[in-house]
Amino acid sequence: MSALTLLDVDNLCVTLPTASGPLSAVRGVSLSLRRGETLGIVGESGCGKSMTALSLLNLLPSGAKATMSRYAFDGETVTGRGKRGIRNLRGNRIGMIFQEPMTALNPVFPIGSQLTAVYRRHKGGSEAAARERAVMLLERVGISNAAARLAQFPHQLSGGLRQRVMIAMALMCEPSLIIADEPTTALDVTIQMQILKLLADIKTAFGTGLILITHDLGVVSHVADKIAVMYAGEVVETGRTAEILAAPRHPYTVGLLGSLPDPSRTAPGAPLATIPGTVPSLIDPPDACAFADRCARVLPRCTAAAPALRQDGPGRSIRCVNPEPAAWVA
Amino acid sequence: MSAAAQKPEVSAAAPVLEARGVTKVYSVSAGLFAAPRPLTALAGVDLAIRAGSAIGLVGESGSGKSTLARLLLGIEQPTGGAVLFDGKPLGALSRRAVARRVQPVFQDPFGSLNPSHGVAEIIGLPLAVHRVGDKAARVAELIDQVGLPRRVADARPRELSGGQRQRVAIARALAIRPDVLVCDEPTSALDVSVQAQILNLLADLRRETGVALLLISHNLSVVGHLCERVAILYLGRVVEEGPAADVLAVPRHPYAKALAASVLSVGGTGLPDLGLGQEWPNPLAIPSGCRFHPRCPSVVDACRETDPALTGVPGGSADRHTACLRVAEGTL
Repeated sequence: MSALTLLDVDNLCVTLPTASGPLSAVRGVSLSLRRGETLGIVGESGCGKSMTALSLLNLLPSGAKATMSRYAFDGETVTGRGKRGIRNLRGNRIGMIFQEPMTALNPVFPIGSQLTAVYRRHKGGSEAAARERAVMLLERVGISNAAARLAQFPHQLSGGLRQRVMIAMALMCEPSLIIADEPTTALDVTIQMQILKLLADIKTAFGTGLILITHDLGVVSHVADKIAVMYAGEVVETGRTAEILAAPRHPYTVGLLGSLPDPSRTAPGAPLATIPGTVPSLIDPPDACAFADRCARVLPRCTAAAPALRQDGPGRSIRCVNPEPAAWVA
Repeated sequence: MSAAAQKPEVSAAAPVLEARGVTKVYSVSAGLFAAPRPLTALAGVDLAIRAGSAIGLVGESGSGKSTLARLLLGIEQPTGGAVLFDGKPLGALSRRAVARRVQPVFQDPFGSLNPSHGVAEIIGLPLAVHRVGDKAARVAELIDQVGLPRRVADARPRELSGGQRQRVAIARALAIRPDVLVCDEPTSALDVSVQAQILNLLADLRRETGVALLLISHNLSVVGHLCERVAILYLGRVVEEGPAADVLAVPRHPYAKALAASVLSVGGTGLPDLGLGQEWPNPLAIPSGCRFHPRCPSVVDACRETDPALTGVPGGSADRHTACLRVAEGTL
């Protein structure tokens, strides 16, 4: 592990209790991130991308269980909930941004006291010093008249402003890592662009690492250095974003990219590629490639055993025994 | 103003459904003891849906796109102007007569399907209400047409996937063979691989049944894929309108340019500066002059005073219109 490594997670598994038995939402995910790097985790509903993020923050829903063989943050092993554990990192060295700001902001307190409470909980100091920092960060995220805004309640702000307040809150303690789960999905496209630019500016200015969880491959293409494509609780393809998107090798990645309407690439009205079938149940996950049932390139050995994530060129890995040929280019 | 700036008649086909100078003003509570304030959701919108065509309606929150959908569906009445069906005012027709010709498809199929009814019952309800046709045969035909397996006929909505539910909603909308489907963000709640299936289905249904589509979406790529025309709404006004391929490839209105630049397509890198500043559109406080001027990177003094009309684009194709002073005078 190099000194530049910020986050190193190995073999993360999450199970959720359901009426029909435990559901394996995340099945052996490993992630690593360097300082100042952006990792985009992409996949469709139920692929485990949000559960992966929540387990890093110990914010899983009650009853859910997470295990991992290694969780190291900034060179130190994170253990349990105690002082050396996640509670001291969360909101402090790891900032969080969610899709719906109202789930993170308390509706009955003015935003100012919420911003200063985070800071004083982790860093101590006076209320005045915390307020000063809050005003500075609100201005930094493009909120005008910031000092007066501190007295406002979340409901008095527009969706785009609330999202900015949540970003300011995530930045209060100068985190080394920000985990953002669909931070712009609920926003209008011009506001999405402003929020993404803001995150990119913060990353450049503070050297913050960013894990961006999204279903939007376009956002990842424009923002992330690395990409991890998840399917049925597993990473199926990962590597540098530009390389993976220009020449996807896993049939699921190929299928996802082919299903996007793009007037510059596909003729208007021409049928879009679709992925037949549905995601397998993760209550009793198959002991085979999870994508085999839907895959056009399936071989007998795909259903005989679950394929491992293997190296596929420099800095690139794939969980597939019969990927698209390497020369295949979009 | 040049001759090219006059709005020409472009198509011989008369519109099947048309908004003509439509205005909609709501009264919004401003607090317990304050007088209600007017909210102008639409301020003089023209939109024509021709038989069998597909037109996209694009705009952000507060642009009035969903209000326009409700007016076109006859769910609400305009404050000013008129909605015409086959040239006749929609207000003169009964709700039931309108529903026979114009049907909605909503964003959230789970919210729009009765959870206690089976799929066949849901799809067949419009046939019973309007007393048309052989219900059982038509329901079976619709289930096939929208690509649902026959075995789902007795299933409840909760047993279906998001994509299957949207297929049920589309089948129900098509049951009485309407002339127009008004689709309000029909794929926004769906995963991309499922979105592709629903977009393919809508394109196929249009070819097979000749139904016209009004596709309301914030996703320009979806509109560009499915529609031949597009209208862009901003704070209750159409600011640009024309052939979808032209408008998306070479937008002229500064807001249309910003929207097009906001499309993050796969393969692109970096984030362009839209130059829109920090002002947010607020339908309760519509700016003077051009309503886009506080955010416009190309604003000049005249924009703060003169509200631009939707006119032809100098040098653009004949069926292309924008509402921008600078485009009209040829300086943008």
